[in-house]
Amino acid sequence: MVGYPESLTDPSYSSQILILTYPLVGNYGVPERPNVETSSIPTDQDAHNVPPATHLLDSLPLEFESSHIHVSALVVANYHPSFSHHLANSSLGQWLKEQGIPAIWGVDTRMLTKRIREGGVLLGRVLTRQVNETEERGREPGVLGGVSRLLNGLSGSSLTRSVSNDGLTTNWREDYNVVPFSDPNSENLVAKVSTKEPTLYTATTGSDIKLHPKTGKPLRVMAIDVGMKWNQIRCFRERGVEVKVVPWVSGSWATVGLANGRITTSTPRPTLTTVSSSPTVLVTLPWSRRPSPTLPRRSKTPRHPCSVSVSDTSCSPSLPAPRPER
Amino acid sequence: MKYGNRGMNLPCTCATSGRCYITSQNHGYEVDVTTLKNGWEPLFTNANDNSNEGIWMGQGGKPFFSVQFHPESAPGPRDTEFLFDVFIKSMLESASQGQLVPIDIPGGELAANIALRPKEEVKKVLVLGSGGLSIGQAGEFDYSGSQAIKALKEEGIYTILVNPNIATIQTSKGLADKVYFLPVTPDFVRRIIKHEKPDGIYCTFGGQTALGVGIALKDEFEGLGVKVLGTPIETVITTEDRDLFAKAMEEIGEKCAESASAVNYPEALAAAKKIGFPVIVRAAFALGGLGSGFASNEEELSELCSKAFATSPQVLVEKSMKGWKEIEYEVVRDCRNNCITVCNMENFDPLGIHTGDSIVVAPSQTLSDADYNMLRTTAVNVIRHLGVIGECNIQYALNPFSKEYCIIEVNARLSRSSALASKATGYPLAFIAAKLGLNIPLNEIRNSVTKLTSACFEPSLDYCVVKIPRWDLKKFNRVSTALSSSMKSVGEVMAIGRTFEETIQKAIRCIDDTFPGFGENSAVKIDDIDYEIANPTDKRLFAIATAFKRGYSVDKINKMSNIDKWFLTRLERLSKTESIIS
Repeated sequence: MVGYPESLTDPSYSSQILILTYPLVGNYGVPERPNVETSSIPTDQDAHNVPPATHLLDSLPLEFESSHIHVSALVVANYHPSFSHHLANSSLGQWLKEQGIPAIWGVDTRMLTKRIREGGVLLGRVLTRQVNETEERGREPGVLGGVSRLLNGLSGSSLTRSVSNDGLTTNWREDYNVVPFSDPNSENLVAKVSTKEPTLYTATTGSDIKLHPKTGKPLRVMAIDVGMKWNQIRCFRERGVEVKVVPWVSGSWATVGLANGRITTSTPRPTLTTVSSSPTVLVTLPWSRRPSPTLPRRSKTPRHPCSVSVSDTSCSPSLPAPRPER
Repeated sequence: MKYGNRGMNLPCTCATSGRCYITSQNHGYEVDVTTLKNGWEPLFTNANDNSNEGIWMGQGGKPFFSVQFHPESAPGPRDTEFLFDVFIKSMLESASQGQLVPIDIPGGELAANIALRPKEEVKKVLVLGSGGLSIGQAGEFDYSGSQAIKALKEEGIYTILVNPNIATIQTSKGLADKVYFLPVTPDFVRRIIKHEKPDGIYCTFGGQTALGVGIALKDEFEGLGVKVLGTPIETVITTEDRDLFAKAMEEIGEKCAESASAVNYPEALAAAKKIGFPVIVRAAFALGGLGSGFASNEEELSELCSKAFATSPQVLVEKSMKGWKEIEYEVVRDCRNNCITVCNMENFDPLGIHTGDSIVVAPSQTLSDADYNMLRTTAVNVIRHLGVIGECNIQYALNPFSKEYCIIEVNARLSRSSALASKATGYPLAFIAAKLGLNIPLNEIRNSVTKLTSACFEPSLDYCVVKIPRWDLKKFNRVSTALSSSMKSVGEVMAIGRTFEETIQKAIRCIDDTFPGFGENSAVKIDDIDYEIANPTDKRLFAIATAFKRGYSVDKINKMSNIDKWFLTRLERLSKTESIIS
């Protein structure tokens, strides 16, 4: 239904396979992409979320929550390349291709949703079928192609297979390019999604600019990027507040290490020790093994007023929108 | 958590105010509240599974708080964006005082909120039915009345029903405790009240007839010792009187169509000249858009006005937005200001055709998340401002080429669209609205299907719903078949499916057993498809099918009809499939 550009670019879905429960996806296409270097670089080559400068953020479509797609694959029930919206610039499929994100449609997502709801989140993978040159040649793609194939007598090989069934259950792997499972929880996802360089976003022009009551300087929030969404920056900027987004860990912030229980063994244990030197800290976690309150409780009370807001999300392959129980 | 809380429709209750917000979430872990210490307290709790969704240091404590949901939404409802204001206010206050200043969560105190609107203690309630069936007022009000009676019985309230129509469910045995088969008119209702002495009355379950009675008797109710339950009569009058409504919308900075009211023809003409032709003329206090229509010149205006003034003392002359998308939302609000939008619907036919005569698709198919939530936020603001308690319906016109929109109207009662929304989503709107009228907060009502989760949630569909009206215009020889802003259909069918193509096929086959589906139809004679597509009648869908057969492109039909290309492309696929298999 709505929200697929936002969800696909949301860093909290990093490395997850996203299954959309609404069956019709891509209806309103994708708005014009920002001219950010990374947006055309495949995510496996540069997964870092390079935030654009303030003026660029102003020109960005509201539909984008970061500069590129973060999910590892998309699964939908129904897709057609046609789209209709005044902001749309291309189809969803085109955008996924640009970004090198595999996607699959024609899946019974309702059944899949039920399985995941009953069995809990689990590892998944999307495999591509090995292209058989002779079989694929001259095939009309899509549903209509399928209909005409059905009517013109099923294509030889698939008909034989469905009748004789030999090897279908045991050897299906032979037809597919099998990739190993990869567990996103074994990766340092925060490092993957966090910004590399500290970036300052000034308040939106024309907003009610908030000034620091003592210094008279524009009020500034420091946000440690552990998977921040652009709308968080927008929400502050629209309210007349500057946002300085800093990397989750960096040389200049040597003592600010923010992580969680199980990133990798080489990562230091989480500590949030030097917030005292920062004016205000907003922490957003894309991923956490432990309940978030450990963070504020461990932090020392800073000298300067400090509010910590933690939004905690998880990163197992999962459902974006399970059907509500009614 | 087994599968976490993910999605855009998770209700979270605030510990301080008891308010319930719809939030956007994506997390798989929860805080174990039993382990909280050192001054940390729960702040938000999930209304469905009671898991923790946020903590803080309490009232008067240090200004630290944390939430598990996404207050910035994107995608999702913007209910909790106020937390950014709380955060910024805390920064400013603490910085100016040089010390940590406790934060204040908006929404008031729970105890005060309860005291402000305590639960209504009523023992005997009168429900007004809708009377006889007519165009624009059919089975949907029987449905809403029956649901209301069931809800009241569940609360152990003695219900009395007035409805002269014996052929309804609500008047059948086992529902209402007492039924008066009398006309729903002010005179009879007054006499029933005097005789029965009920504590409360519901006027919003019987369509325009019951509302009319409510408005006529509004000054007498207090004297008769009856309390109006649900939406106050004043709110209903504001939504019905188009002048008052335009003013109310102006107060909260929302846009209505540019309009002016008139009580006679010269006034209407002056208004139309000021706004500029074409205009739409609507009769106030009218049912099913009776006596309204489009006028593109003075003659048409004069003709329309003579019809409209015959049925209504006031008409409203509005700027015509023919060709814009028509979008509807069903909104529910309780006595504590909790608001949810149960369903949104998009009309297949662009603005210009009465919703009752339009093909309607739920949920909307061609809106983006930004569009959807812009209209959702507006809907919530509007019904809070108007003070609706229960259910209401809001209709928008949305410019297909920009973010520009305006509010067409608000129905502060159960309507035809709410009956459709109920069936499309499975959310019992009328049942819930009756409970809300007793000042029971939304998050305390259990979901009547699951019995476990809260009724304060927004259903998310994983299917598509199409409603197609059924007309019987053939039976009326001298009636024009043209569809306009006054309703002509006598019924409707609803179909559910996983794709738009599947659903519309099912719906077409349901309208008439001789219709094989989308395609050329020998039972429907169309003389001039070009005229038919541009000037909708009851046969437009079949004219489109014929047009595809004749090789018209999606763009061409879109230009002629303004029907969104998305719908047309899907219909074209049906047509292509037909040509492959035939």
